[in-house]
Amino acid sequence: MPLVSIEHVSKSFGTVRAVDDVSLTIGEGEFFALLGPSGCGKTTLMRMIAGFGAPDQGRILLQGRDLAGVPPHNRPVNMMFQSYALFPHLNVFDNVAFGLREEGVAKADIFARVEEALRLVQMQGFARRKPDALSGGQKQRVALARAVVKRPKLLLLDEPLAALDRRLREETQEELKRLQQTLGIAFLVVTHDQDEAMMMADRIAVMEKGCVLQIGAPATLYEEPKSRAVAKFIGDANVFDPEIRARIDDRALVHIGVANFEVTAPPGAFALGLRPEKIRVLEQERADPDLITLDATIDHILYRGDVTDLRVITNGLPLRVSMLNATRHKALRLSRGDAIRIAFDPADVMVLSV
Amino acid sequence: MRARPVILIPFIWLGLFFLAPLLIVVRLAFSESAQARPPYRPVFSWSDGFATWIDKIQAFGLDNFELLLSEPLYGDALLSSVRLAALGTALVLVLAYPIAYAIAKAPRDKRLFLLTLIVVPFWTSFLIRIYAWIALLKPEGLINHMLMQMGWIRAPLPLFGNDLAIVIGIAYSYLPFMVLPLYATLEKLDWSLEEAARDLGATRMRAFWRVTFPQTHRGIIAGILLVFVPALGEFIIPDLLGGSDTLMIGKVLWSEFFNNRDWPLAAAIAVALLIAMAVPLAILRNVETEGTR
Repeated sequence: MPLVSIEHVSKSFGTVRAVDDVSLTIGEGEFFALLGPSGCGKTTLMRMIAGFGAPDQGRILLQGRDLAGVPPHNRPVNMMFQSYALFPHLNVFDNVAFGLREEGVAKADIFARVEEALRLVQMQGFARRKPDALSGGQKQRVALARAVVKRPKLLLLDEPLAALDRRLREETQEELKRLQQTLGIAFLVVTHDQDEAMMMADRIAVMEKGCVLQIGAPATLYEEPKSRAVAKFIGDANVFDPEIRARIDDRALVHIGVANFEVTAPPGAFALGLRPEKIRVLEQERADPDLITLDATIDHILYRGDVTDLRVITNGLPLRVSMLNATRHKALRLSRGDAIRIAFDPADVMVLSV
Repeated sequence: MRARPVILIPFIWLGLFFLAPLLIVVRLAFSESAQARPPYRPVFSWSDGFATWIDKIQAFGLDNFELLLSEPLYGDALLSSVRLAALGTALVLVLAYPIAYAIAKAPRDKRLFLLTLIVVPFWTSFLIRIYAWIALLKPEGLINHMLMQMGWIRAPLPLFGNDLAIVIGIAYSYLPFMVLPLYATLEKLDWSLEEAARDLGATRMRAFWRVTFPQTHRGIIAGILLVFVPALGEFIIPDLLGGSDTLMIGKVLWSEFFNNRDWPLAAAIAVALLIAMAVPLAILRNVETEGTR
């Protein structure tokens, strides 16, 4: 039995359908991410799991039990708020102890458990501080300790890293992941940052306009996106509307730019996607005969150190190419306006629903 | 440097309309009552110079204050005023907090309208509104009449001409002065804190008492000051709603000034009242600064 089952949940605010027939499950101990742009309904969905707002339709089950009518304070779920929501009039210890005191935990146990939670987030020395006297990263840790100290079955994290600067964010991503593994609690993270979701989550649900577009492991979403929207939202992609030259069953002969190749596609219209790093820039070497090679002109060079992002034009068709700077002088040899040869494997082309 | 003249304006204002009248009242308090027009003889004149003032304070100036202390009427009136003002303030707080809370929680576009509803009644004359309360509270008044019609009571409740009427009058008159500072504090609160408390296992009620309420102490203190201080010296409410035996310092002051024409004694009462008000103010200020530490 999954830990959480969300079954056909919808929620509207006025005429806006914030969450539209969403179904998904979260397993025990899973790190799950809801990913989507702001306003896609991910926060509304998370808040409904916490008990803030009830679904208009559908149900939310926790370990098989319908949560309808269960108020937030009776749900074995805790949430880390985006603003952290630390109580400004209480010090760090009392903030973390708040939930235990509400639960009626014995005094001696409260002390031990708060200490343990603070140790877990490396904030032992800060028990007497007021939230105002903490940095952003420290507040985030205290909020995390406060949310895990009650040992919830599911921890909800609303944009947990959004308020941190970039370097701290990267460190904290790793720490969150490690913490989740140590505690064995299922985490549900809401985020608009695809890198964050990819690096931390076991599975991701990509949301747009209240609907779930696709659910899958990060690598699945990246390498096998089902739709144009997912391909463009996760990572970078060249997306084409191909000309279909011929079809036999599920095989289709497609034409883009000057290239013709075969793909496996379901009946009906489809788009094609090709990740920039799947396109190779050929130097002197002779291309593998299985690859499709094209002549291109460099329109723009974005040098990023480890990789060079190229915008090239091949027969009027603009393409993004991401070239790994595997040797020292690779990037230095290229300049704007150069004619180059590029190649890609038709097997790397993704078939997307429109 | 340019800002200087601008900053001076409030100081000039305070000097002219606050400090100068205050000095006049203080000087009056140290004067002698007389059959004259105006009915006092100054013990201190501005031309004497400070050195002689100290002698004169010892010789005579404190007479009015000695009278205030020796005559139990004044002490009783002050205590009674403190009691009634405190009861009234407490009632205002209890009424105003839920109102301010509801307005702060209302949708943003409705808040101004709701605040206006609180303030609009106060655009009509204060006197007329207090007279209206007489019509409501008196034995044959609207409230008693209705309760008797419905058969809930046999005889009229004693709502008028006593301390209860004064407390009701204070609670009614000063409501906006409590609602507004409370609203200003509540409106700035981060409501996700209340949600966080509920998420951590607190019921709505407990979340309010443990998280929201403690964060509004500034608004509560501001509201108490705005209500208690003027209510302490209130004259119209006890005069119109209170009974003949009601003692409030404002009423005593008024009768000393207008009935007995003892201006120096009235001024001494005013000064004593000022000192009596400074004490709670100082205490609250201390509480306030401790709260921020």
